[in-house]
Amino acid sequence: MSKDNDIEIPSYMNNTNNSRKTRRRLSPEERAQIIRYDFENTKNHSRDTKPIHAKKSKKKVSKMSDVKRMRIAFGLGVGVTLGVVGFANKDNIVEIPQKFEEWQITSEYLSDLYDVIHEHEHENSNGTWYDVGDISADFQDMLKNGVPEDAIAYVTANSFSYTYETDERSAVFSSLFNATPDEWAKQHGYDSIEDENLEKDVERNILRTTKINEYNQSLNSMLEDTGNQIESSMKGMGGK
Amino acid sequence: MKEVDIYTFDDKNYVLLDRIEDYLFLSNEKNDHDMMIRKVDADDEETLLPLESDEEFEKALLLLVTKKLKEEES
Repeated sequence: MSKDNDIEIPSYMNNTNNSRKTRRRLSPEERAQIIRYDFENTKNHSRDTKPIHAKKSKKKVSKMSDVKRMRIAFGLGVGVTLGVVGFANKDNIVEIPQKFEEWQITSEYLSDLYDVIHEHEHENSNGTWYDVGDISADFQDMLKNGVPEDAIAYVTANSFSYTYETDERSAVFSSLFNATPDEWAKQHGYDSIEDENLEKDVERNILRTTKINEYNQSLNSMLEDTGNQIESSMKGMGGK
Repeated sequence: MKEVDIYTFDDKNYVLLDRIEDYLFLSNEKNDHDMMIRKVDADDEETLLPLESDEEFEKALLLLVTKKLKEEES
């Protein structure tokens, strides 16, 4: 069967204190470690010598979780292409480094939002239910902390099933934006909440927000360094 | 929500992420880091064959990347 035991699990993946609220952005080295781990695991599972007899069926899943899975698989493929996992075949795919970084950034960002819903997902004898009040409260905090409104609307719109009896996404939209999903979409220039332009705008906004945050962090770090240098100089001159 | 194909074996559900040629790209419904690529048996859609070599595994991954990049561009 699989050779999972031969592969060292990256420390970040082993960290039990890796909850959404304490999560930080991964370093390039940590990302490469995880891709290498996923790559070896996936290769082992793909090359197990036994044929598998599976039962095929259909199921409804959250669009967001499906997107997240695809991004991980895409990352593996790009990792191979870039040589992250030991191969170098960059021919004809020159735009990949930029695209890869963008996928990584948007994927991590959307994962945090998706996890809000996942954390408040519960099972009972009637199936899955969501604590809409807690989801709305967490998203409200995120909005206050500068998470773009369209990203939260996009994740909410794509994370719930909705029927006549249960419509959690409308409840969250109502609580956050005082509008139905389609009303919110029209107010923001989209045809409906299913408009494909929403996803593109969300990704653009996430990249822009991330770049602004990185710029601010580097500016703060520069100011702190300068402050420390001035303080050292003053101490050297006999000041306190 | 989105309707997807599920392959169930070893008491686990694997979501079909994509199918390119005979290659199925599968991801464990409960664990994003448990993935595999398998080939469909020409005589039985529910029999999933292992890949034959590391080269075939790389080839399948590159097929996925190329397809997704083309989709992004369109």
